[in-house]
Amino acid sequence: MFTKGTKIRLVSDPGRVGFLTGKDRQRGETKFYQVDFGDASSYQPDYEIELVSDDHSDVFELLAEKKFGRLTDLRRNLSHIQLSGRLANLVYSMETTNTDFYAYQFKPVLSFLESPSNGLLIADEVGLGKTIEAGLIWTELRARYEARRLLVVCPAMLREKWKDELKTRFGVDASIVDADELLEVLRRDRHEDEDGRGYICSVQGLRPPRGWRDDDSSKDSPRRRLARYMEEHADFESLIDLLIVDEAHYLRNPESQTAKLGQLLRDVSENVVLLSATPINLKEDDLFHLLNLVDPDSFDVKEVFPLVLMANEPLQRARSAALDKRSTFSEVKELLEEAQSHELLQGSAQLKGLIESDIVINGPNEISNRINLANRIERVNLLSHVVSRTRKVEVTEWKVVREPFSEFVDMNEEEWEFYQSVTDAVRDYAAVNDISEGFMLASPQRQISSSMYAAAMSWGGATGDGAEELYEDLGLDIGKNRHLSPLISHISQSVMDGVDIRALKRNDSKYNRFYKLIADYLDSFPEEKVVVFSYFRATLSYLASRLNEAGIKSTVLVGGMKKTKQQVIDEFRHDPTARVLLSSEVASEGVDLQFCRVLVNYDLPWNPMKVEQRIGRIDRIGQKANKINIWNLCYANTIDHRIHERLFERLGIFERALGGMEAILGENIKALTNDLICRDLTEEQQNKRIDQTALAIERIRQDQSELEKQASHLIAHGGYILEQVHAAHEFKRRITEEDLFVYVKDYLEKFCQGHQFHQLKADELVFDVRLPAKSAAALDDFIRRKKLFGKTRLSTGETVRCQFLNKLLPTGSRVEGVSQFHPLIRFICEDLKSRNEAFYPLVAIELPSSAVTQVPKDVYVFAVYLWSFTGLRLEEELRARAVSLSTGQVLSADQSWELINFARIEGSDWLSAAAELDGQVVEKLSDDCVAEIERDYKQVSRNRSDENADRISFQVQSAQRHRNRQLDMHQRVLEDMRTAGKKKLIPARKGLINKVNERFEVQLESLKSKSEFSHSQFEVCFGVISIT
Amino acid sequence: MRNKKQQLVIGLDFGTAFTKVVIGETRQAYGVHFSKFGDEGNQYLLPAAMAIDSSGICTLNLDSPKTRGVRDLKMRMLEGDFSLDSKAESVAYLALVLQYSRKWLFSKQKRIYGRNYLDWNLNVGLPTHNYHDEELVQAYRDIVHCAWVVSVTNSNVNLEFAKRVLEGKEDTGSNQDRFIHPDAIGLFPEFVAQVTGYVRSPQRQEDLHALMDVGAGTVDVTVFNVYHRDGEDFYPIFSKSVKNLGVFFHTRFRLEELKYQGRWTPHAQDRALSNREFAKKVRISQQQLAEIDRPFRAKVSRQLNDELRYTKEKRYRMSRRWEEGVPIFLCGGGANVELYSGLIDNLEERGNPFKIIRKGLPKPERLQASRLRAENFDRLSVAYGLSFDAFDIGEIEKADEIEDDTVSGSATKGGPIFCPVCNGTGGAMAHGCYKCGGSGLI
Repeated sequence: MFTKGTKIRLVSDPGRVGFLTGKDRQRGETKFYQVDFGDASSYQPDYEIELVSDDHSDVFELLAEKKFGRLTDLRRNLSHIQLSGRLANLVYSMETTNTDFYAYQFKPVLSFLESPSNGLLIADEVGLGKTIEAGLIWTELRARYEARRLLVVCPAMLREKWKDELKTRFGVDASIVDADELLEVLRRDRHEDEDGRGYICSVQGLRPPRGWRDDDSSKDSPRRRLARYMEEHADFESLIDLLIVDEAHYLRNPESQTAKLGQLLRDVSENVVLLSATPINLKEDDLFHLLNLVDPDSFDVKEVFPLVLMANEPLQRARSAALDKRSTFSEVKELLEEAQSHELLQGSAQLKGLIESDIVINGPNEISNRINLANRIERVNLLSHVVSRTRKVEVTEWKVVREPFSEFVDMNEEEWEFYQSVTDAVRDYAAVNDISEGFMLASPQRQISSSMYAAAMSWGGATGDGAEELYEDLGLDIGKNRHLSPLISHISQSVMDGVDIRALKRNDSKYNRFYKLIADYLDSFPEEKVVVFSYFRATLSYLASRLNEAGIKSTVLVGGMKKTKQQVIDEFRHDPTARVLLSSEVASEGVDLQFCRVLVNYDLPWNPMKVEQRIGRIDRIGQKANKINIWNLCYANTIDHRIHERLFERLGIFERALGGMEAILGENIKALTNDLICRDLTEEQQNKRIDQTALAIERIRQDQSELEKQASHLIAHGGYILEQVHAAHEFKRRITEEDLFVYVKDYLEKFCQGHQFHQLKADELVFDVRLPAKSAAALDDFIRRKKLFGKTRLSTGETVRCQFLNKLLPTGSRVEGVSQFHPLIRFICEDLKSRNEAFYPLVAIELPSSAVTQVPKDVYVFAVYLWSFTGLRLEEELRARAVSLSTGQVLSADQSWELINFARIEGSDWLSAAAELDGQVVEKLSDDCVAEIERDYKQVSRNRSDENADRISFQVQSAQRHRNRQLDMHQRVLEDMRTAGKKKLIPARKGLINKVNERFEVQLESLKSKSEFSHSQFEVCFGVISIT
Repeated sequence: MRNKKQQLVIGLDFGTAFTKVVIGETRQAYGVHFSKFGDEGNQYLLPAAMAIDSSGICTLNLDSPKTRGVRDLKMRMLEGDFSLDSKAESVAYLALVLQYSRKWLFSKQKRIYGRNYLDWNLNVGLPTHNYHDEELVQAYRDIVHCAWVVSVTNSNVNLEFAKRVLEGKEDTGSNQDRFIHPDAIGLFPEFVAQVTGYVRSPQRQEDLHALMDVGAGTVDVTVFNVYHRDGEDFYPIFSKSVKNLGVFFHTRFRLEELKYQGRWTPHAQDRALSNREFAKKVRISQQQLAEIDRPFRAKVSRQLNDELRYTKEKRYRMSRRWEEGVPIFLCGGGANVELYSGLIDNLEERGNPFKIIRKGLPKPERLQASRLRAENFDRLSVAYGLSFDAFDIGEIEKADEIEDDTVSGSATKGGPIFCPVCNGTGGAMAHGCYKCGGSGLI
């Protein structure tokens, strides 16, 4: 029976399987057989080994014989599924990035995963971290789908900020590229991109020039070539995995070239995330145009949109009713039936399923029943995951009181004269040159409002383009194409001759006031530091030198410095002698300034959103003080003063956050700026004009809160999602460091003889790791195939110090971080898959009761299944059920999973389980688990099938609409050609029309094939857990 | 499931100063915790001493009233004292250790083993250089066997009874079923036990290694090979030396240099002081202390390098480890003493004519010893190695059985000449060893 090559397993550790080598020895009466286990060989007494017929042992047979395996069997098994799968109930990006955990920041991630169009508009209010939310979505896509190509499109001013954030928080090494370079990137296969790279472009840098479609080669330019290339590839294989558009409201005007750019990019991107603090106002076209980018097929005709919303209306009420404890299911059902009567929802299989099902909501699990019902209703509404929005008032993580104090500084005579003459010179220049764009002219005056001396000095030397200030002051992104030089030379010639620049410094009223304030404060609070903002670089340098003269050490933070801004901030923070940070708002974005509680606005941007953003730098998560002080400085009796009084104070912008009005404010402020600068208004007229704006903004704000309430159609029910996020976090539904460690260790021990895996400290997961030559070579080959260069030195076969840390850290540190994205983990995943390794499916585990407080002490029998659903997309889910040995009560699916998950993380072997348990009882209870899972499975697969059917029919309709849209467009062009007599071009256009039709057929075919929804389930693991 | 047979192996490291016990089975091994009998600083260490009362009843409780203490049990045997009294004392002591260890396992792991029929095995370590002293080995074997018999016969361990068992005068027939089969007692050189834990760990590497065992009295340096043939492990020893450069001699050397004798007499059982503590005690600076240590440190360094040089020049010239660095283990009670650990670290970092790489002996996952700090694992490493089945503990090939290296091959014990690159394993790489093409022989 026990001959060479026989496959055996150990009686007391049945997960350990090996082959007999044919050698045996005798000791006393016992015969010992040598067994080769792969990782080692050893002699085992005859009573310790038994034959294994095949690898895929029947778990029920094992159960009957109580052949329990060990904790490592469970860990290996679950980690492998989690790391190689696409589990629906796991948030892969959680705790893997270099960001603090805030539940609301995962709302967009979960919404995005549910979004039927692979698009999402994130419309959070300022200061909640939209950048981080977008980064988390990218991280999730990388983990789930090995996404490679990320493109961020943002205003030019924010490119550096994005680069920095992506690197430090998400381990993405992004390059800033122009149209030409981007085109080169897009021409390459996106799957060939290196992992962890990204591209950042400015909107202006990519915007197609007017007439880019014309076949006039004399107009050739990189932007034109890029636009044409994207159009050619629209609707075919995607060129970009994820497109992130920051400050997306710039794209909202459908007639603009910027919006055209948005459409072109959208059509070549697999996934889209738009970021904007746009208010969610259904009555405004702006929102519709942004949604059109997120999901062009659902939001294609503006006029149809209200109908869709109307159809959804009863669904919204049904959802509210489901969550309302006073309503019964039959009441909810009535509303669902009302919804069903609308033609758009008549065909909904999910809705039909809901109405026909017999749902019980009362009983012990009422709350979770109601939430589940609400969630199912929400899934009927396919538009519900298009927008994700969090408002500051909803965030409970921090609350800070703002205490503003404004100082209006009287100008001295020289200053007054200088101010007036510059104002006049600008107006003259505007009149003579017939310039109506106020924002260009605003620059010089905004500069002297900041600091007269700094402005005067800067005009003497090289003049910048003013773009940066305009962005920070007025919120306008004008790109880098224009130049202020002619205007400045005009001022220099007409004004500067009569000005005593040194006097401006000697008697600088504003600085003197500032110095008094700041010196007093720093004296009274020797431990504290202060942030000073200005939109004008020259002002910041000027302040630095003057503070220096006064013996106060300061640090300047502006864009384009040699050190990273994080380095600058770190040095500032840890240098006790440095007291004042002089910063521009954009430069300080994304860095942690919450260690300051006093902010000085040395000048005041006219755009209230920009003021809000400055305050938001210290009034944000992480501010320890309960109260922050905001000191504003501005010249008395100037436009700034009037804006302060009539606009800012009225809106209360220093006391409370404005909410997301950025887009709308921009327009208002632009118009206001224009009028104030270019038109020769009297003081009274100016006041009136400012009042108008204030009123308009006030009205917008009121409307907005009203409209917000109506917009719930589009926003997934935040509460439910937030609950999912909390559950995922609390119950560790994520890959932990220990998981990765066990996974790697196990693999090395089993398949890499001669490796080194030496832990340096007992309480830290830091190891010296060396792979044996063969494994190193295999890893190297894997890295080449998958283009994972520069992420690990393990493939060289050298000893590498590694830390298991499921975080995406910037590369280049001395210790290699091993996260779920590390090439070694991906390599192991692939290798285990190709080996088709069977995992031992029955375990016995002990768990201290301190680890799971929610589950009473007892013995539990459990079963875990993997469900797999294939339709429009492939989804997997691990489903578990556990039942109590003493009461026979079955735990809920969530509770069961929580128990098993904690056992996985904190448990230990329960070696005496077989001796202590009654096999028949365990078998019976595991049957109960299976029956319960079977019931769940039927229910869930029916729901999923309905959902799939709805999504398919929705997509078919979308595809039809899309085709019609395309055909219309081509027809129009064709007509134009005919009228213009460009007959030569007609055949090519007709070819395009054929292509559209062909593509539609293909799409229809593919959707049809996916409408066959298939599902299957596999046993993953059974076992017993003893909570002691 | 009742009365399932379960193999348990007691690994017993009977040391000069302390005894350590690990009980193993295929899944786990348990470090025996001696609680109040154990050493204050580390209760996994049991002093090699007991107390005897006037009626001959022995106990591990050294504070027991009206008793006399017995020490140096192992030392006397190693020095060739095989008198009945001495042997009986060892039997009694080991019987107490065995009783305690089994009782401890049952109190802690009753749920696991309480219902099993237990198949006991006992592996005991022997000083490596005495392993070939047949008289000693036989005496040891007798003692261990008698100790088992005594341990299962009465709950009280009596010295007179131990003597009678040793002399074969005691009829123990009624307890036969609790006796251990003579084959189930294994005696192994401590060196092999020490290496076994490593060789049976996933970190195992083949080819050349060195081990420096720092004891109270001696420093043992062994340069050896690890290789696997037909599923068995072999450790050919190329070179070894034992010198009186241990912790005790180190302290004595310092005191002599400081002309401090008389004021302070060191003992082998003393806890080694750190440099800082020592310097403070004798009121000199640590720099001065380092200066004083210099000649002693040079001697230890020379001992290691002499063995490496001899191996490189005469024994195993072709090892790839001369290029890559020879893995070296530092173990024994003195391994944490700065002079020795610092010396190895220094040689590793600064370079040496012979490149070395210090290897730690990580606490294996199989070992359950919750109160053992990871850095103290090396104190249990011999007992741990002995807790494997005797068949799985490798064999040494004595230095004098191994021929010197020739130009074409490495050291072998006659017969076929093993490839010096893969040591007869054929190589772990996919295409096999580059020198022998995977055959393992040249």
